[in-house]
Amino acid sequence: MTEIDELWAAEEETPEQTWEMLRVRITVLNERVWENRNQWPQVEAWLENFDGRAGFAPEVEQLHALFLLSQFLFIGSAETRVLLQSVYRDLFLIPLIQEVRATLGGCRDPLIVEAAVNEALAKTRFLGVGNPSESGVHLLYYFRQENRLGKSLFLDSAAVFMSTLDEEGKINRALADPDVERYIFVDDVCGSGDTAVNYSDGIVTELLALKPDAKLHYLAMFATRQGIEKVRSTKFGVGSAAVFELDDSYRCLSPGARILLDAPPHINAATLEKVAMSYGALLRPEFPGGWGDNQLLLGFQHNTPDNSLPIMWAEGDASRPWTPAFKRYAKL
Amino acid sequence: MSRSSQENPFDLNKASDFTDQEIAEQWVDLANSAGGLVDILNPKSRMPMLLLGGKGSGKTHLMRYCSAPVQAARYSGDVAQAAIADGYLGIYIPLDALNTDKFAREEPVEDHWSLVFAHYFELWLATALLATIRDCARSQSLVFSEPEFVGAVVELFDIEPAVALSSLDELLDHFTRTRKNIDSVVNNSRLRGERPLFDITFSAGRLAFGMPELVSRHAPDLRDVLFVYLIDEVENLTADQQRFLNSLIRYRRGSATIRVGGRLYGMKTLETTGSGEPIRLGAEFERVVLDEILREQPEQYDGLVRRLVAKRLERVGYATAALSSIDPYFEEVDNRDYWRSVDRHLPKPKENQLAPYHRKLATDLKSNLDLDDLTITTIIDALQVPNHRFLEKAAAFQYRKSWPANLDGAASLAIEVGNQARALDQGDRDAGSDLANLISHFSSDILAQLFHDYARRLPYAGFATMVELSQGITRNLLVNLKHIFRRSRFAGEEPFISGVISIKSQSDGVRDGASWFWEDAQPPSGGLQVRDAVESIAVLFRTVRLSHSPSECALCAFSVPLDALSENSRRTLSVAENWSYLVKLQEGRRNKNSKRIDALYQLGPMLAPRWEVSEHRRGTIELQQDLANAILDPAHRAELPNLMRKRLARLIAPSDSGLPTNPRLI
Repeated sequence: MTEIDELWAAEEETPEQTWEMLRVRITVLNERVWENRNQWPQVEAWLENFDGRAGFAPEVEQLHALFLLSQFLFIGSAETRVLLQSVYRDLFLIPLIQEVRATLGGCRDPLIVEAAVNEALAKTRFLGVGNPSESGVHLLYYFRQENRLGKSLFLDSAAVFMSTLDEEGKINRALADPDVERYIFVDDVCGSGDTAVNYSDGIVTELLALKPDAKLHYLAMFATRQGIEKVRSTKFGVGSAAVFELDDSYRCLSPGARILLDAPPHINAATLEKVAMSYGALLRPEFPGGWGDNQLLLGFQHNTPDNSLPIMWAEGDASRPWTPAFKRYAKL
Repeated sequence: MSRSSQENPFDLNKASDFTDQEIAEQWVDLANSAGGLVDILNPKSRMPMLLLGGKGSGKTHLMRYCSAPVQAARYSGDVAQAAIADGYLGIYIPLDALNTDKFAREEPVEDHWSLVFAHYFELWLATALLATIRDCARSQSLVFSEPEFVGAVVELFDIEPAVALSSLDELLDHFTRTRKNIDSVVNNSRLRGERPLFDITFSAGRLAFGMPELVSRHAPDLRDVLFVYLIDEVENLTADQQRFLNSLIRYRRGSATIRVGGRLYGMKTLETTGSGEPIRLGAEFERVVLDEILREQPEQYDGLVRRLVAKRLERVGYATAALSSIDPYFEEVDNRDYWRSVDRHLPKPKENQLAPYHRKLATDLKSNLDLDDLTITTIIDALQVPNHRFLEKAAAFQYRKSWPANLDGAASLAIEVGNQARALDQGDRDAGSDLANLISHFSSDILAQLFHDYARRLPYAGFATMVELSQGITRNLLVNLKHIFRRSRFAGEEPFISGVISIKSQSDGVRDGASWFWEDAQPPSGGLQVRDAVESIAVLFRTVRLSHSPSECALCAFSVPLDALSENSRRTLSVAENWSYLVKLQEGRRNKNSKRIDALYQLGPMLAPRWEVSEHRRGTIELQQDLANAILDPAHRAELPNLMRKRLARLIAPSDSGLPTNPRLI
């Protein structure tokens, strides 16, 4: 530090100044990213949840909660649409073109390649992960719009199969369209990987039994590294991918959490963990750090995944009221 | 409401973003009987004028308001009738840097390039003028001998156009094609590293001043109309390019004149082409600084911005607010009963814990006077004013200013000052007259210290404060209001609909505005050194304000002996003034020793919230040559720490403590 810097050095920041700085950050986030979902009165209502039950003074708990909120990664509708373009283009189309060209001996003629890609595309079906009321399926509508795809390229999982009664009155299951060669499962986020594993054990197993050479891919906008690795070890295989792979630094309470790299004064890692986990345990005793202990600070315009910290999305009940910051619409 | 109540009424704040119709609709004027803003531009006068001012002071709005399309909008679209009624016709020409850069050459500029630009520039003016004349000629009410006029214009050329021209459309087309040809030749010659070559088809001044004379001859109704070239953003021209413009100003004639708009130091030279002799202020041109005029007439400015705000509110549907006084919508810091109300903006006092200003005082008493704990407790007890933190702080402030010379005086001084504060708390102004007198001078500093003691941001609130912060520049006010509005919405308030805009939202908003002002104004050359200098000045002011014993109240200005400063220092001052970081106060200040008049500068009020210094024009500090150079000139900056410490030593710590080994500036 030079002499001048020393002379100019600011006084040590107070907790109030950290609070003020976070408030400014949240003002901008709310306006520019969060689609005005959390005006200050809503933020205050959420902060009131932190009333000293984690063992610290309420103002200390609220300062740490405010810091976590200021780090929340919200994916709005515009970002979702761009990510869905990326899922299609980067994770599906470009690998498909590469694959097609390889089968054509590295052909560079755009007309020939285009025709072959279109042929492969016609034998592809996109499906959402989950039942039609869940977010993976909900995304397909925007996925189709953004990527200008024909309606016929989409299926719900029930329409993959066709059941017929044979002469003996026995139900036979067969693929509804045996010409389809690729099934692409689209999801918003892969946290623990459990949803994809369930799929792999169910519909995917049946599908492969009927068509062993079918190509299957699980594609997501976001995935934790562990989650996507788990999916790759299932029948979905190595073709599974996410636009954003979140490494362990996205586990916001872990020792290497990226949010702590540039944490402001008066934000302490141990306090942060204690506050988040104590209230998380009150709200979701079975997974206080979010499903699979993923400890994410991630939410979408359409919902907040349960892999994020419960203090962000959980709703309390009459005996234990809790106002969420980014409400989760749970599967019932 | 006619528009969504979500819309921020202050979002748009650049005149160049407005359509002609919006310029006309959004216009507000001064209310004085001597005439309004248009009279400042005085478009009916043949005397050319430099209309200068800070960024956002309204130069472009004013010039565009006097331009033909906006004039026409005021007369049902009939530009000829507008010209006749107004007595002038404005031809607005914004000097787009993209268009002038291609002609720019480093000094000394070859004659060849000067000639190329001069020819192109006049053609640029002439094309804009001709387009306006054509609009006039289309007016049903005007008798205009078009073929004769066109024939006469053709005669102005030294080389006749290759094709016969008989209509205004053909003539305008010829002008446009000629300009495009020069554009192409210049662009490509630069690419090839050659000099551009094309025919010079008319002599300088012939079209710019010749055509208006011909209009008078061929359209008799327009004979008394003055044609005013409104040339905006002159700072985009190089010095060499400005020399030609200055020559046009010198040799203007007939029914044409010129108004030049630009930043305060947008004019790089007053020299003309050829001999280089400068144009003369008063004889050949007038110079008007728009924001200076507005600052000198605070009441007029106040009225102007109130009307401006009302228009903005009305436009987005806040009809009730637009029709009523704006002040009640802005919560203010209640200064009654010696700011008793500020208590609610501070953290609650904690049981059995000294106030931060008393804690600090106790430490200083111990280290400075070596008092024992019992005496210190007696002193602090004597300075207590229960339930009135402003007065309690004021007593501590007074105690520090009067700092006891020795142990004996320490307790009695505390009792005397404490008694005065408690008397004021009880409403006994006579018994507390000394403290009341001190408060009348230093109230804003005591308030600033009080908030600083509690690590709270200093509030800036009230519409009048917003007007003062804007330093005579309307855009500054609009930017602050824009941020206040969004902060208010975020805080869950309903600005201009119900309730008031809280002090917090206002304070947050002006801090956003200050950040914008600081970041947005980026001087192109030597910007960093100018910002360093301004920051040093602001830190100096802030340190004085928050010091043990401020020498000046509400410090916001400094005086310097300009002639004694280094060239670099003077340049820093002029760039800082040009970018409105500093405001030069015309009155200057008499030097305490030499009795000469030193230059006086105020820190731009827009920046005041950034460092929480005073926005009011009150306290001034004298910067001697060595300290001023250390602040303003990078070559002397190494001397700054020592000089700054020396200058501030007595203010930062109690007087008998000697030079602090490492005083912290705040």
